[in-house]
Amino acid sequence: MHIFKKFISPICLPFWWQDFLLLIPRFFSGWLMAFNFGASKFGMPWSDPDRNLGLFEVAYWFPEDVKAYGSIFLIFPAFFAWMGAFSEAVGGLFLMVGLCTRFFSVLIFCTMLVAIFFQQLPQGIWNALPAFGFLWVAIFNICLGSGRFGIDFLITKYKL
Amino acid sequence: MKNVTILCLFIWAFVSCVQPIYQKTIVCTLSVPSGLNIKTVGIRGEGNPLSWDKDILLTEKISDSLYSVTVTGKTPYKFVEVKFTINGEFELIDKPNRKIWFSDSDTTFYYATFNLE
Repeated sequence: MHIFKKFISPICLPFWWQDFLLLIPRFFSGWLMAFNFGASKFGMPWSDPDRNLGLFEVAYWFPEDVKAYGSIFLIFPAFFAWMGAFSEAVGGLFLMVGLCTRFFSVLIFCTMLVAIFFQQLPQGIWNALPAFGFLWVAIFNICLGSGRFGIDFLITKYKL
Repeated sequence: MKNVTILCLFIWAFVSCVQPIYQKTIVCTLSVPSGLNIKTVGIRGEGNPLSWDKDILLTEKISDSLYSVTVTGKTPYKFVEVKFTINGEFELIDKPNRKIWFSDSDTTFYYATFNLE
């Protein structure tokens, strides 16, 4: 429990407005991943019903895409597809509210590295920009945690 | 060790959650109004083997009146969106696509009249 608290404990910047500024990219990135990029390939309660995705189901086409990356992705395509989609859809949600921020930032970081180098970059650097954006946000959050504006802060500082 | 086992079971349970796909067959029967100079009657739609760019041609059952086609493909969805064409021209211009809802069985029978929703 102590290690867990240490892991989620955020670093607060000197002024609250600095934490608030960093909340903006974290919240917006989380929202985009949870409700747009992630929800389109991972079954969440708010996923488009026309996609016919069950809860926590990964879209049928995504493991096929992942398989095309080759190497280890060829051996465990369903696992990597599920983990990638999970880290976007669920990780995005946790990022928004600042809960287990570092843990989900690590997942998002790994997912975005794969997305950049195996999926987007071969199609041109312009296509990789959204994934790069999420990658930078994940790096900030791995270092700082949720800051003052997140559930991690409430858990660790106020001992709820 | 117990926690690791539970974690492995948890991961296994969820990573096996890939959206299932089913083979579905649609038998479309299209009624065509008389008086049209018909060369080809086709169906277009989304998802393999359908395409929005290329017709799958319907065969004539009753001359210049009734056409049909059987389309088989794999899909995870509950419906497919289509439109019919005559001589390569779409029906229902500026109107929504037809939605063909799959029946629970493998084969769905769909009856329609050209350009009528």
